[in-house]
Amino acid sequence: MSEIMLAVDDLWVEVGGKIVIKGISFEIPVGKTHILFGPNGSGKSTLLRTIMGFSAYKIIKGKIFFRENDITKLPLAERAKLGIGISFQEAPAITGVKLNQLLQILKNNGADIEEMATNLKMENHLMRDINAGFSGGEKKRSEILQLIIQNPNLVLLDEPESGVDIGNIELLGKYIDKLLQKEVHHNEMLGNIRSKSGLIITHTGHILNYVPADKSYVIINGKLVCKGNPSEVLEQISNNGFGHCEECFRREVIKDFKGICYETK
Amino acid sequence: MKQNKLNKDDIEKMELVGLAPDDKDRAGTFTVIDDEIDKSKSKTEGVEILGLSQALKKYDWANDYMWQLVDPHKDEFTERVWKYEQEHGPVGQFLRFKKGMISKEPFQSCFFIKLDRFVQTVHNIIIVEDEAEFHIITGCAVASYVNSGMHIGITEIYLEKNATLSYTMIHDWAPEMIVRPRTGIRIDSGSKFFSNYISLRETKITQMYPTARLVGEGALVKFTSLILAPPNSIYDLGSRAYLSAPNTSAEIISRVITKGGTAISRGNIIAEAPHTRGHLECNGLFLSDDGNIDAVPELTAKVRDTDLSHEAALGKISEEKLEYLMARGLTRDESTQMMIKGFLDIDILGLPPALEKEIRYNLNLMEDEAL
Ligand SMILES: Nc1ncnc2c1ncn2[C@@H]1O[C@H](COP(=O)(O)OP(=O)(O)OP(=O)(O)O)[C@@H](O)[C@H]1O
Ligand SMILES: [Mg+2]
Repeated sequence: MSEIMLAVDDLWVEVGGKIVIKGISFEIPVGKTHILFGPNGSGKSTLLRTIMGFSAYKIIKGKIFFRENDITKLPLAERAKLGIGISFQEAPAITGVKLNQLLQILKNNGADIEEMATNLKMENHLMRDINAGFSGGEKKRSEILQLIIQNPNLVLLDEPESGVDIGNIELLGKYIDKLLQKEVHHNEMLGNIRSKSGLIITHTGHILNYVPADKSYVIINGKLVCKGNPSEVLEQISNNGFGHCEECFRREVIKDFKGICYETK
Repeated sequence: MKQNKLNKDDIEKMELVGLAPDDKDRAGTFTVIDDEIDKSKSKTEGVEILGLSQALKKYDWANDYMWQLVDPHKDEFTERVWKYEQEHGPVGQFLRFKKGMISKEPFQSCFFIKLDRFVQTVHNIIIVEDEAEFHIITGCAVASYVNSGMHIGITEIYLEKNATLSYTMIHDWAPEMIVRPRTGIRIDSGSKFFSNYISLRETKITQMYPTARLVGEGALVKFTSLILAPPNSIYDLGSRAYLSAPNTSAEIISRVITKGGTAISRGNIIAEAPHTRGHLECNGLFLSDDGNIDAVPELTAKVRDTDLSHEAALGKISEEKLEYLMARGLTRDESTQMMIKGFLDIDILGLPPALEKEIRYNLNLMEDEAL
């Protein structure tokens, strides 16, 4: 039995007066990376942001466990301190706070800020206000840079590659791999186990060309409808659209669908 | 009626508003306690400092600088000082920065009140001659037991040609103090005037509207104010600039925080000549459910060829931004502090290290006080 980093158990979430997550359960073992697919507005960001603990997201039912600790009621900052980190789909501009100023505070793993910023082509942004006037791609690199310096154990990435050009996706992919310790061989037998887990939202799956993932889910209308091998599920979605997943979910099984239809209730 | 001498407590209060008691790193010192000059000293030949009454006796021409930039009949407060001067003669400094002289060390002055319920009326004349470059730090404070009283300060500042003056003022009043400074500045061609105002303590009301007249080509003014209004305090502050010559420019920047008090941030730029530029900026932050912030920007263009703008933003610290920082592992307090620091972090350019130090110190106090 591998150790579990994150367990979500029958989670129901309300945001802005509307129930957006409707009974979701899944687990991510230590060292594994899972992928979330799903149409716009299906609740992907809501799920990630609820796991992180943002105050707008009210858990009305269910539990979240981080390394076997019940964190359902734990405030955001304490979850971050425990080792959960997130990259924002739309990062707000933090005027008055320089990127470098925040990185200096986050620095907890001896990483060289200058060097890492240079690697991510952000060295000229260190003295600028966080995300203020950053281009779309720069914001995404700024998010990954902050996470690398923060060094969380559970990495939640909300569309890290959307709006990013091919060359920069490769660059981001390289450093997301680093964030997730993909260079550490994951072998339970040899005991050489990486300590990081990831949950990544992607529409295009481009990031999968650089970041190996272990499992994926499709979320539609606040429910997990499908799970399976990331590239196979992506292929299904690309060929047949999300309608097919929904169909699968409704009829419990579709012969040619390579993912496994989620338990229906 | 010489007051009892300054005690340790008083000196500490004066230090808080920037006064270096031993004149260290200062070009000179001028202090008034209640209505008497306590110290008047220049440490460099570039600076002439005299009591204003003394200066009026010494120089015939000194009178030409009296009540030129502030109208004695403007309001009851100017009137009061004017009447006082008719009877007793003026109390205040006559400060002359000599032609072509430059000092990186600021000249310091302090107006201190030791008597409760005292009405302090001071009048300062400051002249910066051609090509001179100087800095002033002025602190105003009261003894720790003083609760009420009034301070009216008339200040007339003259910048001749191609001169530069930075004027940093730090206030530390008391809950029932009424504060009514009246300041006029005349800026001739090629000269630059930088005003920095910081106040973070209680006052009953502090109201002022310093007015700069940019009368020579290429003159520049920048007013910066940083205010924290505690509960029951009223700050009504504005800055005004008349762009009366071509190629002049004005910038008025304010950052106000309320912890329950009222802060009114006014600004007025009047463009009367072509090729002029003016910008007003007021940001206000609520750190309490009570309190009021008013931003009242006014722009007047009397010519077509000018570029005037203003921006204002009032509100509390955005929860979204706080949570962004908290998601990185900062506590709510740390995130709030960081946002306040960021809010107050504005470029105050061209200050020498000794002044940077004073401002930094007061900003840190303000951040602490804000939390
Ligand atoms: N703060 C909020 N207030 C009101 N409604 C919200 C709020 N946050 C999310 N929602 C709603 O919840 C639903 C799910 O939003 P969410 O951001 O989770 O979608 P998503 O799957 O990430 O979509 P996308 O692919 O477009 O990013 C949407 O209908 C959205 O409008
Ligand atoms: Mg989303």
